[in-house]
Amino acid sequence: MRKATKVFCMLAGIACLFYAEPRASSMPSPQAADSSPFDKMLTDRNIWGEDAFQAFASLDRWKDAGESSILVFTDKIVGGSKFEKPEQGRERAAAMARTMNRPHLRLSPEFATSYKAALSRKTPALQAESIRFMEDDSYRVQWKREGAEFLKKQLTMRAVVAAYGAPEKTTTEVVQALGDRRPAVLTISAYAGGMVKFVQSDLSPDPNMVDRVVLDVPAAVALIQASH
Amino acid sequence: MNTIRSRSNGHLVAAVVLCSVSFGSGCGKLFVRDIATDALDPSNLADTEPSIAVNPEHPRHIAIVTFSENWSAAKGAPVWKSSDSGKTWTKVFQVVQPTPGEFGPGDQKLDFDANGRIYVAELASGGGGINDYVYRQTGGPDAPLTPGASYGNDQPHLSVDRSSSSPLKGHLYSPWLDFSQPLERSTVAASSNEGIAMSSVGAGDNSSFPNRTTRSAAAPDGKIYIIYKTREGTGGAPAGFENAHFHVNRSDDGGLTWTGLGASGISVHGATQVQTYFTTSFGNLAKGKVARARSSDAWIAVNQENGDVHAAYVQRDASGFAQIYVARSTDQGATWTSARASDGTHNSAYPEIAVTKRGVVGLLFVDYDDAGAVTLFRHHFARSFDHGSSWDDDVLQTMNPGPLSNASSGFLWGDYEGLTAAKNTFYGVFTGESSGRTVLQLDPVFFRQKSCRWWWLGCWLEDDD
Repeated sequence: MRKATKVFCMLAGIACLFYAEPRASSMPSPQAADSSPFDKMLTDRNIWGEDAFQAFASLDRWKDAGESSILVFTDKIVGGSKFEKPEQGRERAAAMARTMNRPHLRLSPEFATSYKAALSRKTPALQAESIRFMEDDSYRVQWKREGAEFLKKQLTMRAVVAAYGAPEKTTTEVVQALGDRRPAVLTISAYAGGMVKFVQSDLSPDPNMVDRVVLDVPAAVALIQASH
Repeated sequence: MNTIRSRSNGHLVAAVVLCSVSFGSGCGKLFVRDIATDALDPSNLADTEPSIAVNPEHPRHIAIVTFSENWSAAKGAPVWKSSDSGKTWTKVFQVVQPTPGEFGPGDQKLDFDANGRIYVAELASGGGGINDYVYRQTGGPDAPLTPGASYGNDQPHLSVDRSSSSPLKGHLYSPWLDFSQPLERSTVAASSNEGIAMSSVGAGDNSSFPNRTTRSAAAPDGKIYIIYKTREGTGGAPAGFENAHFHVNRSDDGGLTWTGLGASGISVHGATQVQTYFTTSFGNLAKGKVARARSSDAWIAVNQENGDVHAAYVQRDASGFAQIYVARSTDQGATWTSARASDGTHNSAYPEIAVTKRGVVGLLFVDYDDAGAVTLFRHHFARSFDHGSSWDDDVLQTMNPGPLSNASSGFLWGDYEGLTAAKNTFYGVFTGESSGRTVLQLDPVFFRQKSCRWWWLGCWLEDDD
């Protein structure tokens, strides 16, 4: 090969690399592809009340307490960990209560902007407490504040599908309690690789409504927190 | 000669016509109907754990509750009603939310009093816990029902004393399971004023073992019976089974005390333990959906004519299968004679028992056949014309719940279903595969059958109760 041809090929190769690099970087990574609807969902005011954003800005407390998921209802947020004994729930709640006065997460710019109004509201602090979770008779930790709205009331699965498309996966779960009262039959619609799950319960006054949303806590913290 | 032959032919024709008419009129024939329609059940709800009651004043009037629509602040939960012996049905949304924030129906059971007024026992759950209520009729038959005092906890049942010979006519009794005890206790709430006030009294013996599966029946002399089991561990029992005794006890004072048959009652199968179900996997999980069977192993009924007590229970026996046994007491529960009612070939559970006026015993139960590729569940209705010594068994329906989208594995038809008797007819309801629906699903299926054989003349002359 002549020297001039070699130089041409080398320059062409470099040019191709420069051309290709921005194209490659514009392709979302698998993780980014998964988290994109999650990202959007976590700031969606059609799904959440303003109180949810205050709670999301403090999700690190759940993570630090060892909770891998939370259940967001209209009026409360409940930890995913189930305890058999009340004292176990009380211990977890007490540990979490000690963290409730910590400043909230340093948010990534996108979430800082989206949550700004919610975080600037003057509201009483959320209370961490142990509860008996009626659905399965387990003891759990919940966050609550009188009058708070976390999940939007009257949110239907139809509205979720209209906004985000069909769920990636839909499953049914029968939740047995200690006794033999009617069990809850949950219909679980998963999005974003299962990081967010919209749950309908046949025990709800209107089973078409979303009863709760289950969030993957570490994934949500990773998304919301700036330092991550 | 010709005249004689002609007369013989005439008799033959008459006999054939008579037989045809009797068959055609359905004397003693089993009537089975899916009571849901696309119009009545537009949301394709599962309609599980059904219960049934028949108005003693107007036996063509039948009421059923199932897990259908839930109540809300704005609208009641439904009672399915028929006024033509079960041929056609409507939904009357009359079970209102008892207090704001309480969800339901949870468990439920219904009954009528002697005057044809309906009562419904309901479990409601909310932020504060679990409450039971007995709803009563304070307006027209289809007007919203009025909840009484809150009481109780798990799985409330209901029996109304409606016998004209009873000194406690009008009293009602609601067994429930008390989970606040270290060992759960069968408890009965009684009311002398239609559920406006309820008084709960511990009725089961939980001194050594927790109780479960509490069912009740009122006798014509004002006595009230319960059957319950003591859960005595799983030692030696196969997976999904536990050791137990099924006890019957009696209250002779309107539910104030439960010592009519001693502190813990009488074991209907004697001193020896039996093995019964305690599982969320009734069926074969490897071959399809399964059902919960934890409080699905006992029922009790009283003959309203002579006071005989009949108890049905589950016992895994030498056949290797869980079987339905029926015990009978002719001395107010003091002694019992027990015999197997199912055929010893398949695992069986979910017994409900009833007795008609002429003393025929009816038994509703479920078994399953997993010999093929999928598990087939079969609802049986058996009748005994000889006090439980032998049984005529009909399969009401064979169902593979696999394709039924609203059939949830782990809770298929519920913990119990419905069977009752009015005069000489059995009335029942089970949750089975739909028929005539756009979407194949679980629906409440009603059935009725007279307690006679087709060749009994009296059967033909009876009203269609």
